[in-house]
Amino acid sequence: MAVPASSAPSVAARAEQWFQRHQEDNRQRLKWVLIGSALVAIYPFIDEWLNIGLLGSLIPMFVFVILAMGLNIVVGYAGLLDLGYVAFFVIGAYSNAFLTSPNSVFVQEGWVPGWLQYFWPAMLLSWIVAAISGVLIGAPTLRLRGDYLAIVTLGFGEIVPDFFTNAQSVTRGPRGIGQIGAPTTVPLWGDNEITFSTLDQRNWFLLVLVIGLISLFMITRLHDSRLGRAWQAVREDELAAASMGVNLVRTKLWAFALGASFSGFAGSVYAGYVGVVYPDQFQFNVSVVILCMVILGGLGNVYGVIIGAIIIGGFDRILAEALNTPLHWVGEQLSLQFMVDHSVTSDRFLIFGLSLVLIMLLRPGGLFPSRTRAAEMHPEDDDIVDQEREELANVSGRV
Amino acid sequence: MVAEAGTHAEPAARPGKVPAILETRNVTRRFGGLVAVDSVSISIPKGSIAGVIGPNGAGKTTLFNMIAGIYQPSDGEILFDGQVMMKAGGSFGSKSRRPDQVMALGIARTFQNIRLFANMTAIENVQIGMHCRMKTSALGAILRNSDVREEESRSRVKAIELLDYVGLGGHAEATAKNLSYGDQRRLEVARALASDPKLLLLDEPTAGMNPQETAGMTEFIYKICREHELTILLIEHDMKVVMGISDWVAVLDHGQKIADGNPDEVRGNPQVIEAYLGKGAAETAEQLASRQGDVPGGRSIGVDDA
Repeated sequence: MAVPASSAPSVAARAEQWFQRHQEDNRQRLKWVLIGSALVAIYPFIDEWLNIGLLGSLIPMFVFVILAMGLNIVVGYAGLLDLGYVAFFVIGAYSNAFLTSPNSVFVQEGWVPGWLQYFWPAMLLSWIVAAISGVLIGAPTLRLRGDYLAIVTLGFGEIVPDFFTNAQSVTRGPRGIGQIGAPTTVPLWGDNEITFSTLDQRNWFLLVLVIGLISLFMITRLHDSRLGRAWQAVREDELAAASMGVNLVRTKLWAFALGASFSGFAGSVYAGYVGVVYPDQFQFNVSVVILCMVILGGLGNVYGVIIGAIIIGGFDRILAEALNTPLHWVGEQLSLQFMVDHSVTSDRFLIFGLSLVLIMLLRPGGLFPSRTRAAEMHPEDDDIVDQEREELANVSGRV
Repeated sequence: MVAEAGTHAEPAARPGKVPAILETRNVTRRFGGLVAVDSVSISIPKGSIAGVIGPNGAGKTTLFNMIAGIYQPSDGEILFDGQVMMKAGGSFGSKSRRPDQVMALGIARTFQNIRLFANMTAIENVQIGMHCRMKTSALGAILRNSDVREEESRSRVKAIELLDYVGLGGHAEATAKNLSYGDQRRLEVARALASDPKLLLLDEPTAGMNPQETAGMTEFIYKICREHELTILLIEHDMKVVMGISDWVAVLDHGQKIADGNPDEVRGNPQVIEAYLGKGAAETAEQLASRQGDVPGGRSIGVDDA
């Protein structure tokens, strides 16, 4: 580079300054994440102490948070609308089942080495299997753009669970696979140890929290990297990105593979927690719910997505249930029989749909939009609008 | 040979004797029945500023897009730095490259209608330009080991250097779409330079600029060519700009090359004047030119491109 040598130190210093400001933002966020997760980590103890009994609902909810973070890579970062994300969730869950359940054909045939029949290695392998399946499903479909990609992924989201329903000799069909291995006991100092039986809700909760934090850590690092920048460039302008040296297929495949890999985590933990997998757990609406979480929270902003997932998951698993009591009470007071008989849980999808419509109309970037994502959704330049508003205000003030 | 090379102290001034950095041989591009580019052969000397001009729909942008890897030629071949870069011809022997591979070879471009990553900051835009020169993998991004951190820090420093170079040092953190029009053009150039190209393709670098900005941009193109060791190929409508800046000019009309050579040769070519102004205009223009000593049709001819 033919750059005047005299400006070199100040250039390096400015680059460093810029970087430090970014780091400061990240540190600030990390602080909040740590505070938040510390509070969350305390919850199970409170729950057990006060006998609230919500852990059973919260654990699957946190699994969905991990799923939403993974989908956010595909939809939020890379801008690829994936309507069949549930496919990778199925694959993650079944991988774990195949490896650890005594009912699985693979174990019965003796194809799975003994050391792999435990939860921990199976979880890592499920992670890899899901990533590979992301590449396999992505490779033929990623040449498509926009709407077409959405339709094809929708198809895959239907095919994969159907495959697990119909491939009876391997998957035992609709009966599913039970007795999936739970994590082996982790010995600690002295007599202390961490066990993962169905009674150890607290430990499961903490396990999911730790996996969620690991996922968050990996995802934020990916976002602030060469790959993350390439995702954003591809999302904004494919042609320009390609002309600037970004390999489109490879970049999109990475998004698909990494997005899928986190659902491998989520799927295997979910399978281990529930102890049984069967295809009906993975209907199309799971894809939609996860997508709702991402959109509600804010496409492209992983922290927003986490909050969106907690809101929707919380409503889905806890609040809808809890709303029944007051609704029935009001119904009895007004002697309206239909209100007494009604169950809010059956309205879940009505409410998801409504909230999605409202979000799109009122806050298209989501509740906590990422800076750039929000800007992309407002075609008109906000600055210009503000400027015009200001000018108008001045004029009317003068008159 | 060495002695002879020594005499080429000003390669730009004597384009004929310098090896070509880019050469197209009978390149043709058909869209259905339409022949957008018809057997065009041009050869661009290393280190020069070359211009491609022509009226609307002459096939300039199509030719450009073939060089940049967006279209494949239907016929003919394109050589870059002595190597066959693209070649049409059946299932055997054909060679094609994607735009990102072309970029990796050392050809960077800008766009006629600015295509920045509008919602990314200036510095991030430039960093994308370095994408193919960086190595960090997904695993590296997660582990963020010292190599990765070093590479990122180098890319930041280089991006700021480039922004300084194009005069945008103060806007490093501005979102690209909030920059003024001229600054956006400069940012596009900085983004293209980030990949250390050997050949820079500029698609109408002065489109939509007023005379003052145009003069600034012309000066800037000179400066880039002088200070970086690269060749510049530009498409322009503004004859004044092209004639003033280029060492070598090719004129396209209806997909065919009708003239090439140094600006003075091309300027007087009756076919060129005819293509621009229609039949009968050639004589008038010649008279005008001799009277005013100016370029025929010196105003920008046609603003938009087909």
